[in-house]
Amino acid sequence: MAGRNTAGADVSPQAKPGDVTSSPASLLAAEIKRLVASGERDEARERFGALVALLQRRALRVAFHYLRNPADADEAVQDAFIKVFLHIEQYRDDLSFDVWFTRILVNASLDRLKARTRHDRLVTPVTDEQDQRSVHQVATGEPSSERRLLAQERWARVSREVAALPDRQRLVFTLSQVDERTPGEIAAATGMSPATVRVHLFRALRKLRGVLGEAG
Amino acid sequence: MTSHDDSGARRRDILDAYRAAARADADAHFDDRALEAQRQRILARLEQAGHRAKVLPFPGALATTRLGASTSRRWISAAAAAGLLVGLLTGQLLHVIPGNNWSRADRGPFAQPVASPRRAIAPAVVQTSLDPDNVLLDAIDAAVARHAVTDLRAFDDLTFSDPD
Repeated sequence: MAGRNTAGADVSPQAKPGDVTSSPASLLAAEIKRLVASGERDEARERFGALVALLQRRALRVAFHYLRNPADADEAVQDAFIKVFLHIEQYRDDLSFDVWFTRILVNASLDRLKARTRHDRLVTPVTDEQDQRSVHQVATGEPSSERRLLAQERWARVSREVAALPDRQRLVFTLSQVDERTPGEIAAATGMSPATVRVHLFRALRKLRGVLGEAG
Repeated sequence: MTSHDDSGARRRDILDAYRAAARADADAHFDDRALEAQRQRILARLEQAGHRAKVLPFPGALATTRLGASTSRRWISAAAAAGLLVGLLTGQLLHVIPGNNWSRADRGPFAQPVASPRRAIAPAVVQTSLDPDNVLLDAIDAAVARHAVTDLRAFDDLTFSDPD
């Protein structure tokens, strides 16, 4: 991943005029930063719980679709929030907190992906014959109303095709389609140039053209 | 052109459907209870991170031990050097003090000076280079020069003497 920064410490997301610094997450992050700077860590942790609640679901969606594993997604999101709090003093209030957090989340997911790759070299996962996904990845809940928009078989096929994308293309596709990030925000979050982001997104959509066309 | 727009719109619809399905799939794995549990775990980890962790005596203590060892080693080296210096000075003083004979007397048989090989060889070379007659005459002269040897007087009288 280009421009990767493990701790997310010196990430400099592109400044965006307007509402990025006045978003609820950015305001909360600025408040937590002030509390930490003034030594009120207990109060800062309490406020940080609100920030976690605000971003948690979105972070889990991105991490889950990038990692394709709920346990790994859970760990990656936890690690990302821990890093955010430990490095909150390095957050620049004048920049978008969402992009800063997304970059830390992407790095945490990448760390988890590497750890899983090392683990998979030693352990052969048990797979479900039906869709070749790991058994523990199969959804346990009842299909939601949104999920019924795509037939079960068709959804499994699209999901497999997305999972088969190269890492960068899958990352860009996930941030673009699941998290609805613009190429500029994806570039700031991943360290790629906006042009590179567009190229990866174009290639991902071209590879998915077959299954997406069938879906119609 | 119309068909192109239609295909673009249809692809957007498909992507929107994919987005909704993907989000629903993720949310099916993480319900509200799972989110709350994760939030509590994050806060618990942060609380633990705030406390000072128990530090194992490695490798920090090892560095301290090494530092202490080097300090004591320096002291031992300094003491050994000082002892050597004191010993040398004492030895020199014993030789300088006048009338001090006990040190030579106590040397014993092992303290006798050993002639160096070069000194032992030198007289032998001189002896072999001299004429055997001269050696004999020198020995006779030495014997005659002694006052205690009177037996050789008669022998001296028998020998030829210069009329000058």
